[in-house]
Amino acid sequence: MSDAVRPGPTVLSVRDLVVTYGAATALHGISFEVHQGEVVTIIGGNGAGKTTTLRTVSGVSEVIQKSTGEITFREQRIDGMPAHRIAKMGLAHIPEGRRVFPQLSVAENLELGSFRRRGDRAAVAEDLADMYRRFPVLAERKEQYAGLLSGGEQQMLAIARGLMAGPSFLVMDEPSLGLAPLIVNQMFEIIQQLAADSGVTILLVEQVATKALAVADYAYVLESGAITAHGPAGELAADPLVKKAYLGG
Amino acid sequence: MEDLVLVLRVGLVEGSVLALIAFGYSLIFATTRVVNFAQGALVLVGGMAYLQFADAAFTEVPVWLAAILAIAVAAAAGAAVYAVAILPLGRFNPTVDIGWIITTFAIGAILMELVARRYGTLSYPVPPIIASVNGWEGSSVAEVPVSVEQVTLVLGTLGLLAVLELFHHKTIYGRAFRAVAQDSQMASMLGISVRRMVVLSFVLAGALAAVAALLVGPLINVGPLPFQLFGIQAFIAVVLGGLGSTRGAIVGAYIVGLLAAFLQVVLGWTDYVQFIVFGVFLVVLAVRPTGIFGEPLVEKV
Ligand SMILES: Nc1ncnc2c1ncn2[C@@H]1O[C@H](COP(=O)(O)OP(=O)(O)OP(=O)(O)O)[C@@H](O)[C@H]1O
Ligand SMILES: [Mg+2]
Repeated sequence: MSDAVRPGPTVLSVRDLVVTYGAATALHGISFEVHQGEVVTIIGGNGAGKTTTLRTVSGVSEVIQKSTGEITFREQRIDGMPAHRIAKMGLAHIPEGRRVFPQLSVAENLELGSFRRRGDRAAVAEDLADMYRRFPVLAERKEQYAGLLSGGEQQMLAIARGLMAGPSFLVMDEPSLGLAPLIVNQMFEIIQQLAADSGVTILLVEQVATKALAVADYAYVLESGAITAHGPAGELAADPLVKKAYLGG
Repeated sequence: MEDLVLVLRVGLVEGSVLALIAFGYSLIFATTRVVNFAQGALVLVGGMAYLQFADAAFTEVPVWLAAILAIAVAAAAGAAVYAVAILPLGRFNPTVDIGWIITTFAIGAILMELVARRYGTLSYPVPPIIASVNGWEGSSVAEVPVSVEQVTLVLGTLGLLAVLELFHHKTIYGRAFRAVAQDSQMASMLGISVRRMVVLSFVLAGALAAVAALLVGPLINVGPLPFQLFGIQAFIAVVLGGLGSTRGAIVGAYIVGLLAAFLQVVLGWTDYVQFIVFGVFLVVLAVRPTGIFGEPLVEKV
């Protein structure tokens, strides 16, 4: 893979990350970087360690207790830092499996998305209106318990809640899961808009690797807890081995 | 008519005391999935702290200040319960690692022992926060005497609980609190400090226990004996209403209070009231394990 020059300063740097669940090692000392304004994707099969990687970056306590290695975010070491402080630094995580608060209304879920910047009422109100415009179904269901939404609707809510943080760095774990094709396209449009217009840096894990590679600037291939290839997304998409393993031929 | 008024008076008075205590159980359970078995001891600490500050034999300050100080002491005791009984356990799964049962019981026993060392096991009278309203000190309703202390207790409790419920449901901090109750890990990823919410629940539970103690103290005195059943009765109330639901805790408390009052006043049973209440509790639990108002989790997968 060519060692292309990547734009902007490094925003996130992960060095020698090891995560061990009991007897099983999920990550064997992986290292990767995300630069300012990039869309970076991690592709890999089931159980490769993608979710584990993202959760460690976000400081999920259950995982960071089992991890070693250096994680630097905006020139600050964040390994061992609790999740809520990392979130306050502007990192938002749209988690695998939706994780909406089932017994809070749709509106309350969205409001909590903006918790880290709750004082900034004008910006929050503007973004909220924007979310309701992008996802009209959420506007229709505003007052409903999030737990009563359909799976796809919950996924939209999870995405919108993540965006409500007004993040400078967005971590997305299979955001297209369970969404209808039309909405999936819309979501990728949002990703591209965020990156291009708002300068948001994005770390993306996707099932649909073709799409992920199409929107990404740079990509890493994760296999059984180790990074086996990396490079500009376009080059990786053309790589015969990657094609065979992840892009269906 | 007389009986009805009496049942209402006795039931609402007892229900109010239990509601304040039950609300605390419910807050703590919501954030931690732990039942704080030191809750009864916090009521005693609040009552004795009120005595300490309001009584001439100890440090006499104005009643309102004594009340604030008592609430502060019990809130601090609540934080101490967290620091001693929960914090040292580290990260644990409360449904599997049930060490918290022992630690909360133990800290409760220690608090009660500390109280006994200082004040003995006697009961003491304490002054009411409001002795009269424009000269009114109570009246008879259908020949049942109703005192200003009783009215203060019931209305004060209802007002305070209404404010807390509003806070819980209408402010972003209340919503953050409920988010922690539903998925603390996700809440932390949104920038919410879970530990702060947990500590807050213990502090609030302590403060509410003190409010219960200083409102009921003037009616039944303060001391280990008059307070001995509050912890367990409020526990019954909160399980009956549905653990983790603050509204359930309130409703459960008034059910227990009114049921006990009915047994005492109408049927004239005084000795077996606790057994009957406990029996009803077991029957309800057998029929509805989530409690009367414990909503089934509306989680769709
Ligand atoms: N909490 C946990 N306890 C024990 N093992 C775990 C835990 N979480 C993940 N694992 C294991 O770690 C490995 C990596 O899991 P991870 O969820 O990171 O994979 P993934 O790449 O996200 O997979 P998928 O594409 O299926 O979501 C798997 O073998 C998984 O079984
Ligand atoms: Mg995953």
